Amino acid sequence: MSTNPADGAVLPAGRLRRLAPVVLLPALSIAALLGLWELAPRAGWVRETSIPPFSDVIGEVFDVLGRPGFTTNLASSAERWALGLLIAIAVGVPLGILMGRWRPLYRLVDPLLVVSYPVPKTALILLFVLWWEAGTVSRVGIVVSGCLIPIVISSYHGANAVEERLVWSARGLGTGPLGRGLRVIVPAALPQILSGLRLAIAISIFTVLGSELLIRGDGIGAFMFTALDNGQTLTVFAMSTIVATIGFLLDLIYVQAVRRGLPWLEGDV
Amino acid sequence: MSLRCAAALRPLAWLWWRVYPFVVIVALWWVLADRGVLGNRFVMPPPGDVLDRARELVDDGMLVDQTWVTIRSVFIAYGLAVVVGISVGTLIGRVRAVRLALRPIVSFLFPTPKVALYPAMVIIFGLGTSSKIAFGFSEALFPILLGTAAGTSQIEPRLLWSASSLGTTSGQSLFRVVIPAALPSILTGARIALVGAIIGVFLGEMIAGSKGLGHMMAVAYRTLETPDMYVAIVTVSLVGYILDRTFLTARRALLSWSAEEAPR
Repeated sequence: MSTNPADGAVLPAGRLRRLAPVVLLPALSIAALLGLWELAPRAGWVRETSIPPFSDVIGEVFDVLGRPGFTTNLASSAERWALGLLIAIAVGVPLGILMGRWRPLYRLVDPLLVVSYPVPKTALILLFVLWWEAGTVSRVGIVVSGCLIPIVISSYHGANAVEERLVWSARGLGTGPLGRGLRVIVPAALPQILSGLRLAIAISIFTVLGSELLIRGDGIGAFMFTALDNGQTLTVFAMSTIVATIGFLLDLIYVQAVRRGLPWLEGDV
Repeated sequence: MSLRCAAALRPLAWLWWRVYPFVVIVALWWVLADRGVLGNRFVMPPPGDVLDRARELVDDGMLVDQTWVTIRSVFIAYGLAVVVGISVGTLIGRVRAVRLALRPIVSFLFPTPKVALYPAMVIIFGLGTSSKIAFGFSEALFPILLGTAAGTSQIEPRLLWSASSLGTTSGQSLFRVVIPAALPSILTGARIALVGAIIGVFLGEMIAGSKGLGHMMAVAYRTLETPDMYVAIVTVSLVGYILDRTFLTARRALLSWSAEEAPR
């Protein structure tokens, strides 16, 4: 009798009974949630103008996905997002690693990060617009300021926790400071850096969207706000669904990519 | 002698590292404004001008009123998130059926940018404070919920066995064993959630609202009252900083029995 469900077509009845809830319960809860979303407006428990039924929203999702305005706005948001995230990584990872390896830098920078942590960074877009106008500099800058702190902090924790023995052995073998940094400290700190990046991806999407909702112009947030201003409830719900799904998928892709690409990493991202 | 000297300097050094970041930020701000690096006095007023404006706004009662509106919404959103997050999180952590049923929903909503749902919240809850509370709640819920689920799912069975052999019913052991043992993990999530609630409420007020510090900043932007914008964002940041510091102090007191070291 097979003990592994993957290689045996015939499952013992006991195992089937234990596996059934693993498949059934999640399916049931999703069905219940979507069913409620469909039923509540149809039955008149909520007004259809406040919560349109699920099937209407899904129909609108495909309609919105086909509109040319949607794709161009999505593209300009994606561009800002990617550029901002890349700059934040390019600045944040080296800064965090240096802080982890050189105590005085940590003492100088960390208090500033602690104070900046509760600042609503997305709101700074209005000041950025005053300083640099509503162009690329402001729109990319806001993404950088949004996701820099988690990248720096996680790189710091990663570099700070590197076993000293590893660094000593590399030095004993004649590896210079730059070589030690790139070949010992970065790989050893990688798990922490990567989990900080996961956080940074979520925050950066939030920042792009939030800043576009505040200053409009173009981008996916502006597209969404126009629909809200025009009272197009269905479009707003469809946009929320699309953007929420994009955020979820990016996170999923990132986690899967790290797991496949770096199978030697231990633990979760 | 030098030892005593060092001991006397310690509180001073502690104070300096607390004040230091504010000194750096104000000094940098002052230099940037003075040199006009980011623009003239209109787009970048020096800290002194902003402080004067803040005093005026305190005197006419407006700043205190708006700050109070924002803090009230933050506390309601956060309180709801704590209650829902800890109860649902405990169920997810302790009851397999609940974990299986809620996992797909939680893992979809957790990485989702909640701001994407805000326009829908405005439609459902209206332009008043409820939609801001809903946004703050959605930002605060998941860190607490996931922290609680992680903490309560990793409790040593021996703790529960000894509690039940000493006559503790399972209902009692929830509050005497499960929640206390999961507390470090719950509080780690709760700290992130606190700042999340503030950011959610403030941003919600900015995007669509009629009250609060966020609204004050958005109106000042539209009417070009630039010093008011600085007053609003500095006030909300200070509120956030004070709440975050208070939370960390409370966390240290609550966890003094635990081996888990609380961050400063």
